[in-house]
Amino acid sequence: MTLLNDIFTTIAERRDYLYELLVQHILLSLSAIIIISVIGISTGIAILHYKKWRQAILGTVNFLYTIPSIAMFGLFIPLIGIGYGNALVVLVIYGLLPVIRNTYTGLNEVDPHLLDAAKGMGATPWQVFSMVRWPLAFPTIVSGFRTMVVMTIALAGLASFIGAGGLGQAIYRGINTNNSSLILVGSIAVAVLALAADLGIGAIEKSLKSKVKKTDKKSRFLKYFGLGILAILFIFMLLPKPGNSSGKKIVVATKPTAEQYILGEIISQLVENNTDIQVTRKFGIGGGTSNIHPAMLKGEIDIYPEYTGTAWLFILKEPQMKNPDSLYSALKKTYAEQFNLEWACRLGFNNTFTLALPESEAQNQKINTFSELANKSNGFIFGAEFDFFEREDGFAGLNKVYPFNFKKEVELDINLKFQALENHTVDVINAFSTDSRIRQMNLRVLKDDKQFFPAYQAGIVIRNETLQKYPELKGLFKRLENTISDSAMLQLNYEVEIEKKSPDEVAANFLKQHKLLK
Amino acid sequence: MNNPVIEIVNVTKSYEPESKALNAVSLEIPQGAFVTIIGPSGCGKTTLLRLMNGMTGIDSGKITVMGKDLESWDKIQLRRKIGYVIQQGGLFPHLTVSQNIAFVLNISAVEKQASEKRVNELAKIMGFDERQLNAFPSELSGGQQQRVGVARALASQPEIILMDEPFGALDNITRRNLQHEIKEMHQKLKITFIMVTHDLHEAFTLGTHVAIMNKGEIEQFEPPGNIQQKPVNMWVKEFINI
Repeated sequence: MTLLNDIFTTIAERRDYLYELLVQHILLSLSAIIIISVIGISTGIAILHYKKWRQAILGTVNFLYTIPSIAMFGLFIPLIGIGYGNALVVLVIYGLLPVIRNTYTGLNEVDPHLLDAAKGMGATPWQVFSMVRWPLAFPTIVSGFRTMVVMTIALAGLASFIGAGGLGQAIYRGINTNNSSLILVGSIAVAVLALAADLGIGAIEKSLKSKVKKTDKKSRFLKYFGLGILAILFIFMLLPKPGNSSGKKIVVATKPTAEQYILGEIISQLVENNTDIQVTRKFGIGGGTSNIHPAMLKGEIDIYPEYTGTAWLFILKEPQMKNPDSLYSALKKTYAEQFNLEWACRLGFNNTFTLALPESEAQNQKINTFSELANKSNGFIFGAEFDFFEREDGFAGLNKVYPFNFKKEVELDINLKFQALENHTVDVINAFSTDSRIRQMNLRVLKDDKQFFPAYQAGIVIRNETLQKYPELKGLFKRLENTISDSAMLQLNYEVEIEKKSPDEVAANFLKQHKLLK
Repeated sequence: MNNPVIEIVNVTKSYEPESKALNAVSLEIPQGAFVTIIGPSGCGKTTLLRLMNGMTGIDSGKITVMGKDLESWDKIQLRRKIGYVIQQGGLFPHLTVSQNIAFVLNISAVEKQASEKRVNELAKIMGFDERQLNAFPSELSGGQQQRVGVARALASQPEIILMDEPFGALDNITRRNLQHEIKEMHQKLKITFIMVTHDLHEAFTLGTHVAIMNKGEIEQFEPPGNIQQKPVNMWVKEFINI
C-alpha cells in the first residue's frame, strides 16, 4: 500500500512535469506514427509492383529491425545530434518493418481469382486495386499498423536517453535518482498509453472486420469507442504547452546521475527565476559528456554542469595537472579558444575518487588523510572493484605515492562495495567523494594529502554565443561560485537518493537558502 | 444466325516456347448459341475462353468480337459488355450480395438508382430475398453463391456470358438444379453463353454447340447430336464414351 501511496503522491506532486512529458511522448509518437504510415504503406504498395526492389527493401528493413534500439539511437548522434529529430528518425526506422511487411503481405496474398474476376468484369487496374485488393488486404495492414503503434509508443520511452523528452524521462530520472515510484509512474504511463492506443485501434479494426451489418449496435459501439480513445489522444497533443511565450529559450542538459539532475535543476531554476528565458530541460543524456559536449558545440545544448577533471582528461586529453586552480585557469582558457565555450563558475565541491572508512573507526585510529591510513594500513582490509586495482590512475598508481600495505586486498563488484563495508568483509573502500551512501552509512572521506587523484571540481559550462544572445545570463552563474561544498553536495544527493525528494524540490530549497531566488 | 458473335481465325498461343497452348484454332460462335467447351485438363479450353474477352493475349491469328476486331476494342469496355463467371463465383467476400451483383454497374459508373433497380430485377429473377441480398457471400451455400455469380454476370445486360467451370465445385443435386436454371435463362434471354466444363453430361445437355478440344486443338465443333452420331475420329469417339 505504501507503494501505491508513493505513486499517488508522485503523480500529485509532479503533475505539471508528468503532464509535460506525456504531451512530449504523444507528440513524438504521433509524428513518428504518421510518417511511418505514409512511408510504410507506400513502400509496401511499391514493392508489390517492383519485384526487383522487393527482396532488397524487405531485407534492409528486416536488418535494421535487428539492431538494438539503444545502439540505433547512439548511431545517429554524430549524424543528427541529440533530441527530437534523432528520436523521430530512429522510431521511424523501427516502425517501418511491421507496416511495410504487412502491407506487402496483405496485398500480395489476396486470392488471385478475385483479382481475375474483377479484371474480367472490366475493372480498370485502379478499380481492381481500390475496390478489391486494398479492402481485402486492409485487415492485415491494420494489424501491422497496430503492432507499429504499440511498439512506437513503447520505444519512444527510450527517446529520453538522447534528450528527446517523453515519459521515458521520468523512468530514466527515477533510475538515476534511485526513485522507484517515479520509475513506476513513468512505466505505467507508457504502458497505459500503449494499451489505450492498442485498444482504440483494435476496436475500430473489429468493427471493420465484423461481417454483420453496420447498424449492429455492438460494432457501432466499438467503432465509436475506438475513435473516442484516438480522439482523446489527439486532443491531448493539440493542447497548448504551459509556459511563457517571450520566445527566449535555452537548453540545459545533464548527465544521468542524481547529482547532475540536482545541478541541472539549480541552474534551470536560477535562470527561470531571475530572467524571462524559458528553459528546456534535457536531463540525463545517455553517454554523458561524450554526447553532451558535441551537442554543445553544435548549439543543441546551451548549458550543462561538468567536472574539471573530465573536461581536462577526457575532452582535451591533456596530461594530469596537480594544482586544481592552475588546471581550472588552463581549462577556462582552452575551452574559450578552442570551443568558444565559457566555464562560468566552479560550484565548490570536488567529486573525485577517494577512500572512505566508517567514521567510528577513523576517530578511534585518528585517521584523516591517505598518508595516515597508509601508516596504519596493515590493520585494514581494502575493497574495490577489480578495474580499480588494475588501472595506473587507480590503485597501482596510488600505491606508488602512498606506501599502502593492507592486511588484505579484496576485489568486489562495484554495487556491492558498500554492502561489504557494512558486513565488515572489508574496512576501507574506494568511493566518489559525493556519493550519498557515504552519508547514509556515516563514513569518513579521507583527504588525498599528496593529491594523487585529479580534481573533478564541478562547474558550469555555457556557450559563448548564448551569453552574447542573452546578456542577462552574464554574471548570473557567478552567484553560484563556491556555494556547494563537498559535504553540502553529499547532503543534496542524500536528500534525493535516500530520502526520495525530487531534484526540483531539493534544488529550490537550496536556492532559497542561499537567497538566490527573487 | 447471320453474323457470328465471336469469330476466331487461326489463333495460336503459347505460354512457353516449346509447347503450344492453342495451335491454329478457328471457331465461329453463332449469335444466341450456348457453346460448351470440353476436353482433358491442359487441352487449352480455359485459354480459349480467356481469349474472348482479352484476358489472355494471342501470338498470331485474328479474333472478332461483336463485329469488331479484338485489337481495336478498348479491353475495359469490352469486358464490361461480356459477363464473366469463374469457379465458385469469385464473389468478393468484403461486399454484400447486392454489392457483388452491382459491381460491374458500379465500376462503369451507372447511377445508383438505376443500379439498385437492376439489382432488384435480378434478385427477382434469381429468387433472392431482402435478407440474402444484405448477407455476405460467406453466409450463403455454395449453390447460392454460384447463382449470385451468375446474377452478377447478367447485371450489365451483356450479349455474351463467359463461364469457366462455374459449377465445378458443387454437389450433384445442386449442380443439376443450376444447370436446369441456366438452360432456362439462356432460352429466355436469347444471349450467347460460352461455358468451359469438364463434365461431359453438362456439356452435352446444356450446349447447343459442343467444342471438343485436345492438345490445343479443336477436334470437333458441332451440335451435340451430330457429335454423338458422327464423331470425327477415334479420339473423339473414345472421349465421349468415357
